Amino acid sequence: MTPFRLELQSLSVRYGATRALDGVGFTVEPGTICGLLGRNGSGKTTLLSTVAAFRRPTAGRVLVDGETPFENARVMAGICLVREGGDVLDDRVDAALRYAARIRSTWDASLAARLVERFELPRRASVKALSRGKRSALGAVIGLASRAPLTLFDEVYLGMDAPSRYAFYDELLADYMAHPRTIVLSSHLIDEVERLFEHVVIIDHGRLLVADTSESLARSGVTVTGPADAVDAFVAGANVLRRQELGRTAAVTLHGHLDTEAERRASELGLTLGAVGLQDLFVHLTAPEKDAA
Amino acid sequence: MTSSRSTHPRPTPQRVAVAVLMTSLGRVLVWFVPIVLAVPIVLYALIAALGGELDGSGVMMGVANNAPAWFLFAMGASLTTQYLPVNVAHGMTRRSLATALSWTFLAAAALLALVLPIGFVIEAWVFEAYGWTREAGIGLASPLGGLGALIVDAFLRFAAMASIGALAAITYYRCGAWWGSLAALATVGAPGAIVIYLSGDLGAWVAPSVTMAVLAATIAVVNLSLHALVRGATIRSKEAQ
Amino acid sequence: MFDGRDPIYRQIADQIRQDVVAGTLMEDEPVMSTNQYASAFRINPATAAKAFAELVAEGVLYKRRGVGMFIASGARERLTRARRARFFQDVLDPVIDEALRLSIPIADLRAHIDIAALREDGES
Repeated sequence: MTPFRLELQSLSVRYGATRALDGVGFTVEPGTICGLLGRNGSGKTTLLSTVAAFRRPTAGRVLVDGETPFENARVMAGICLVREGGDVLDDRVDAALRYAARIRSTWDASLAARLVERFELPRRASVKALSRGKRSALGAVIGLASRAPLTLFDEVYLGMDAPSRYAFYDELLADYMAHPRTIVLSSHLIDEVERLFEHVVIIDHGRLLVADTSESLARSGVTVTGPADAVDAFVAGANVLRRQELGRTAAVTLHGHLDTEAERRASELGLTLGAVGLQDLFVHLTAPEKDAA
Repeated sequence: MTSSRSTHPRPTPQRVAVAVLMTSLGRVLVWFVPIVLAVPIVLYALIAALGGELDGSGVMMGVANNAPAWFLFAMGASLTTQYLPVNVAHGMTRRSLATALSWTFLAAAALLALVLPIGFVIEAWVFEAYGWTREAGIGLASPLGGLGALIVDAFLRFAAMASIGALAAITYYRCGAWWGSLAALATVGAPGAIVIYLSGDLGAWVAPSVTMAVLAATIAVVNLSLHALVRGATIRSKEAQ
Repeated sequence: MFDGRDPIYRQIADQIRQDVVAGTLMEDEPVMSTNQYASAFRINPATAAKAFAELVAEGVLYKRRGVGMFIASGARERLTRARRARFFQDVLDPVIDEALRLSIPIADLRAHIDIAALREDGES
């Protein structure tokens, strides 16, 4: 199946008086891996649930492969959302996998069997008896072996230890390259996953903060370190995310791109420029004190 | 499709949904049916051992005609809540589940309605073995009349109870415990009262054809409501449950 | 790997350039495929592809249909020449700036370079 394109058009979801999502709009191109980042309660799960037709939007639209997914048999058959805990059949592990195999037309049984081995899942154990990590691994197996044209992983790693998480990233990447599809991965562990992403979407309090390629996002932050007055003169008028001072030295984190001219000026002033990792940028952009502003 | 190596045409999701529910239900029925048949036989053996004697099939009637109704009520509820999130997570529509539930209820009701005559045949052998005389008509008398009518009556009641169970479950699923309980007056109370009234002594004055028509109409209304509620259901997240 | 301020694709490209200049990657030898790069470094294959595209545009790599990417002949020479052209600006100027900041006279720098030159003459 060809990968699905995902488009959100000012999507809003309200639970009673709570606005879980508020006018979120972005596009994920077919065949790309997109990272969905946000703090707890930012609306990631609601967003993915709406995309996967688990719920209807309150306002706005979700378009998957050009169509509204809710109760759309063709589109729903091509979406796989793996949530924490996993919505799997309450039975033995092998029965739950057989059930998925029976329903998914794109299921790859040999991949599923290999992943079960790799994650050391007890085939004959009851799904209910699995540890949190093994349950997450079962979700990962179903998400990968389903080979859905739009695959959504919502914090799939929870409870998985580091070797299992890296095994998951490796398998995800390998199977994605062998069978290109559209993948959205939500995560807290940004340092571990950021290089997997071609695109990154950051939401906060139900609103879209950033939707960009990870490449330009990686260049959208810079730290400037040096003598405090020189730093302050240099960053005047820029979008300052954070300022730290240690004696007469200041370190300022900027949101924005520096051109070659600015870089030359910084070096003339004896200022040191540094990269802002996605994790740091994310923390700064979603910091609680930004709310007051 | 890159990985479907099978050359056979795949069954439609609808068929898969029905097959899955049937398999799930079948696994319980394998135990349930023998128990339904065994309970009266054990009771007869106890009565015989105590030197008692029976002249009618009240026990078989009581068990085989009532236990499946409650069993299907419970199964209707559990199949609905178990498969709704799983099926949607596996890319199936709610519609397909709702339709599959209705077909499964009808099939299971038909199957269990046939347990009744089988029970009577077994019961006849047991009575003969103990040398008891079974008076014709006793136990076979239903408000509707003969055995055929009894089976049809059982089928309709069983199908109605399974559907009512499913309707109660989807109401709970959608509205939560508080409103779900309140709504149970409408989802379980009203149709349940109709079914129980018509199949009991109180409904004996109602003409059999009217009883059947009302039961069939109840099944239709309950299943249509079930469809409407399942089709719009939000699949909740685990932590919200 | 990959913790500088440049985008990852540029760091990959720099690494390959570096390997070509150092002679680790020989001309007309194949380089890893984008997918192998992606798996090895756990990065998105589009990122690796972007690095390769940049190197193809520069003439460092060339593509053989259905086989993969190879180091272009003359790539080492071209890269070395380009680096040589930028050497004074990119490498030496910052050194001089730093020396001035530390009040090291230019004459001392010159003396240091003269010693290195004598040593090189002695070795060769």
